[in-house]
Amino acid sequence: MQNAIEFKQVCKSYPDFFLDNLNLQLPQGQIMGLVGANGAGKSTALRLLMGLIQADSGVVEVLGHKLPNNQVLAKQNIGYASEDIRLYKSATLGWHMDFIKSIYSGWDDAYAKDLAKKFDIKIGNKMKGFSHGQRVKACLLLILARRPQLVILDEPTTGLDPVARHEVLAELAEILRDENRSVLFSSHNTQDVEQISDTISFLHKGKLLDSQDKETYLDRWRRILCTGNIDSITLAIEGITDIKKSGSFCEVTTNQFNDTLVAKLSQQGLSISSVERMSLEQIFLANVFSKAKTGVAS
Amino acid sequence: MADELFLSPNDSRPMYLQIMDQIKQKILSGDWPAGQALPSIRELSANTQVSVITVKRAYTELEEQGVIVTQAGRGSFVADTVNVQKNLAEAELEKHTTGLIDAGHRLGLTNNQILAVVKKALNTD
Amino acid sequence: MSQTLNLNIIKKLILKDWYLNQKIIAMYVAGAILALSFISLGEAQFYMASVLLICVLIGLGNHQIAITIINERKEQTLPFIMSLPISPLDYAIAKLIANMTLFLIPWSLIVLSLLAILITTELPDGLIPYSVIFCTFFLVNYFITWAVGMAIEAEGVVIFVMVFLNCLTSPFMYVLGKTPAVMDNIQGKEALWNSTSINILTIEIVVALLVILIALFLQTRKKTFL
Repeated sequence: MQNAIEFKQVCKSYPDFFLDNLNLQLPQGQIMGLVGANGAGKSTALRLLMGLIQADSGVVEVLGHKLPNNQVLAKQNIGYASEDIRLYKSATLGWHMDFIKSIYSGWDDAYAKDLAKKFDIKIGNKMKGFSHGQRVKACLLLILARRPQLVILDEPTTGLDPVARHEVLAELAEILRDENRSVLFSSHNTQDVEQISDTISFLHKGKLLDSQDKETYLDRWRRILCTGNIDSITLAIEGITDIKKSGSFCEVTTNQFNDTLVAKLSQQGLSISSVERMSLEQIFLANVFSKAKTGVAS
Repeated sequence: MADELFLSPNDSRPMYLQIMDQIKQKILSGDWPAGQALPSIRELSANTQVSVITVKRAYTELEEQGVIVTQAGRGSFVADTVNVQKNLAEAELEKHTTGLIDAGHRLGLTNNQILAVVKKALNTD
Repeated sequence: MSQTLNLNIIKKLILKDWYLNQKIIAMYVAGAILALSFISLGEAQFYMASVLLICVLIGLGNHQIAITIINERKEQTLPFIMSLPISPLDYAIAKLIANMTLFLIPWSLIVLSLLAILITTELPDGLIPYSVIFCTFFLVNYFITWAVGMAIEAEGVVIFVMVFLNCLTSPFMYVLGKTPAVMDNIQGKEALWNSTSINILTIEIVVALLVILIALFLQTRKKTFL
């Protein structure tokens, strides 16, 4: 089975940003969550996938089609929604639905109406009357109702109230039923990414820091609370990304957790009070604020 | 719906453990008797809005523990009742025993002192 | 580079632009009909109606460029279109046909109606060459503005070009007014097409077509939208 998405050694440079040799794959049937601070390169990566911009070097392939040359073929099977997409204000949602229906095969009218009901958006209303949340859901409806093979979303839940977020996630989860369909979404909402992604990819300042299946990734990270005398020697233990001290109490962050690490810390004279798993949000912060050099991508 | 699980991202345990625990509860309580077909990985995934890989991990570990049986191409099923329930109950016992011993050690008790505590509790029952 | 065009989608995009612009076009055509209804009734009416017609011809072109090109970028409906299975060339062709028909159809109707009125009423037929050249001036302006709109993304530039070209209306009238070949027979009972008039008209048409071809050429070299 081919990969839904492949980036091979992709570079793209802008005046104050450089996407540096991106190597990333999304196997078919998976959901990938793309995480990173603003300006990390997430939107650039997604635009490359849609043929909106062209890479300076490297190969971008979507559903087996090379971009941007075969963007038309690729886009027939992709549904794309991003924060900067707006629909025509003077037209109704219904008009947009008919418009999309006339362009793509695979439009499911019944499902579309069902989604409108679930999302609580009115088909007969003009787009200019839609609130932010309703607009986001409308864009999603236009994508999901045609059941595309690949769904690419740029910040799908940003700015949505909890109810809307839940509705959106529930519909994204429906895509999971089909092992031939894949999703790539970028989000600041780490809880969403943590819950629903199969793979987590972490971009920072144009570089891919990590790309790994979620379970393994979350298993690697721990924060270890301990007491004792720390000195800079402990930083040399492989896998420690950060140490925070408060008197004799300290918090050690590691991205290569295993039992021997705990043993090593004990050997250094530290007594371990607790070993905690980290949420993706904590990992995000740890990655961005990391003082020590971390072991890099998979 | 007997197939629903109640998962929370704010639970301190990782998601796959929550799934495993709740499936075990369903088996222990009799909701899912021996031979009962489990929902497919993708189905459970979509129903609970949890990633496929997490559900897969839960199913894999449940299988390693002998709680469920997976047949290639046919799906996963609850393993033989007698053994499964016994295994689960035994696992519960072991969990509590380990917890008891750890707590005792944290209080600084010797093994004999811990035994004494247990005896006392059994006698007052 | 061989690129096949997606005719189906191009058709849908054209229909979309027609749908979004229909009210505006109707408004300008109504304005033109109004002007033509009293243009032949007297000298004052002639001048008033002419002014109204000039406004219509200017507005007809610029308003829809504003809607279909400038606004599409500003209101960010362009990313919506770009996510459809089309290439930049498909988009350009769809825009070309949509914008051209949205302009040329009403424009032709207006010019033909004007000519009909000139021929059938007491207004001198000698006005015909002048009118045709003048109306074509607006057509050329429109084509140039369209080409700039397609080629250059900066909204300010496109608006500047629009305004600048429209400001040339008066100078153009002045220069035309100083051209004996065109003006001499303006009060005459018959339309006189001499070589000067024909040359001017030809140059206008050539400029218009050239500008379109250049714009299209630039679009074929674009592999991505941004």
